[in-house]
Amino acid sequence: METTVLLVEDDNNMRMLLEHLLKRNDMQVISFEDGQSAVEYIQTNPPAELALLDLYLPFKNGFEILKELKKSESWENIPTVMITASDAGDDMEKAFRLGADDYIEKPIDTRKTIARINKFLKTNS
Amino acid sequence: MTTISQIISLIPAYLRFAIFIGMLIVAVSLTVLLIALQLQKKRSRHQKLHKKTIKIYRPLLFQWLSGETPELPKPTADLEPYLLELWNDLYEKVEETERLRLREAAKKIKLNEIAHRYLDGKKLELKILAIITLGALKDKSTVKEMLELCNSDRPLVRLQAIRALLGPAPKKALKYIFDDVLKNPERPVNYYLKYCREVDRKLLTDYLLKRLKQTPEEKLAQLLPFLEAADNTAGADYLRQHLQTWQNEETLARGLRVLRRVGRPQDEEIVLEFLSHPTYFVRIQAARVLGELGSRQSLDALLETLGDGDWWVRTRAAEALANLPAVSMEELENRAETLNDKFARDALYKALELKVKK
Repeated sequence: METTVLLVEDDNNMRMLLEHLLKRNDMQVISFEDGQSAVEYIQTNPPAELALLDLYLPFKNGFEILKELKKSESWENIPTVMITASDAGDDMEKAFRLGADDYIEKPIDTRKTIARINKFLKTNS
Repeated sequence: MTTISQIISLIPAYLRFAIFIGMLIVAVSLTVLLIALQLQKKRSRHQKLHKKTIKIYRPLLFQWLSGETPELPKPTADLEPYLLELWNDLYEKVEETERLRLREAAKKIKLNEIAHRYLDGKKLELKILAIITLGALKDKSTVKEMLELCNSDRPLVRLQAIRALLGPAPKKALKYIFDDVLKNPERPVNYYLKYCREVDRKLLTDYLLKRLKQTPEEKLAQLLPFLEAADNTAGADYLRQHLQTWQNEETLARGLRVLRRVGRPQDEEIVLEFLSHPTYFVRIQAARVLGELGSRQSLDALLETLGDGDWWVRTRAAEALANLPAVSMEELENRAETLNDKFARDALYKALELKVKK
């Protein structure tokens, strides 16, 4: 069975690039370009194996999605990796406090990104 | 035979005026409608070409990013600007290994030739896109043109040309940046500092140290911020060697400010003596450095600085005390209670309150 990743990223090219990378690594991707749609999905659907969240999104940001994940019984324990700008030190501190497990920095290194995601998927399987 | 002018003269003046206004409204409305239609047409053409470019090139460029080398079709003239935009957007999103692959892909479609064509164009947006592309491609053949564009009257063109020059000719670009900063001290250095972070760190450090050596002390303040982008050890070493010898207050304050970012705890002792400097903005910077690098050793000196005659110095000293990692909040609260100076006590309580809120 394919691993499912929830991806929330508002930048079209970045979202499509990450989708491309994940799919090339045999993962199924459920992607959203805004926080509100992602939250609605989380509230009404079974959990994915991992969530990949951009911090700054329209309607609801990455922190709010993270809070929603931690509130949900079924999604609570899935690993969450944040996508951040390279100088987002304070934001990451906040994200870790809210329960994020790791982060990848923009601009992204595609190999490292996949390696980090795989690390969590192996740990959780 | 009744002429038109005779008919018009039969119409009362107020009615003639109303007809004139009515016709004017119709004419203006029609013009607005025509402009709106033109704009709509232009926008839908833009969207169509953008979508077409994305559809053709994005999957192929993604493949290049993944290490494959699919054939890239030569773009038609109307797709060229959109391809430049897409290529640059992807280039900004990935790290160096993938950037290398994108540069390889660019060679296949001769993106540098496309960018060159837009370099002399009239449209500012396209000109900037062309400059950015040529900079990303590290195309050495464009150095002369970029140097000319570095002197453009348009600030956006000038900044992008300097950045573009950093790829193929980093030393020339650094020379331009430092000359410009020294000549125009009122210009903010933030953009330049950001660009300098993109240069090889060793190259930047060596060149910067050389320029610092050649620059008179009273002008050093303009160049010192660039130590933040240089090698931290070299930057801190330079400041350690010079801080105690500088007489110029601006230079001293700027040096301390940079030390806050590149210094180490061992610099505490050098900084402590600046808490009693005659100039208030030097004392402010010294207090701020101690807030970052200080240990218990700074505690008494900073408590004493809470009695400084300048409000800003007292405030920064209180913030530094609240930040000292080796001193607990409880201890600071106890020390605050023993302070006789009401202003000093208030400043410290306020800083502690802010820290708790944070």
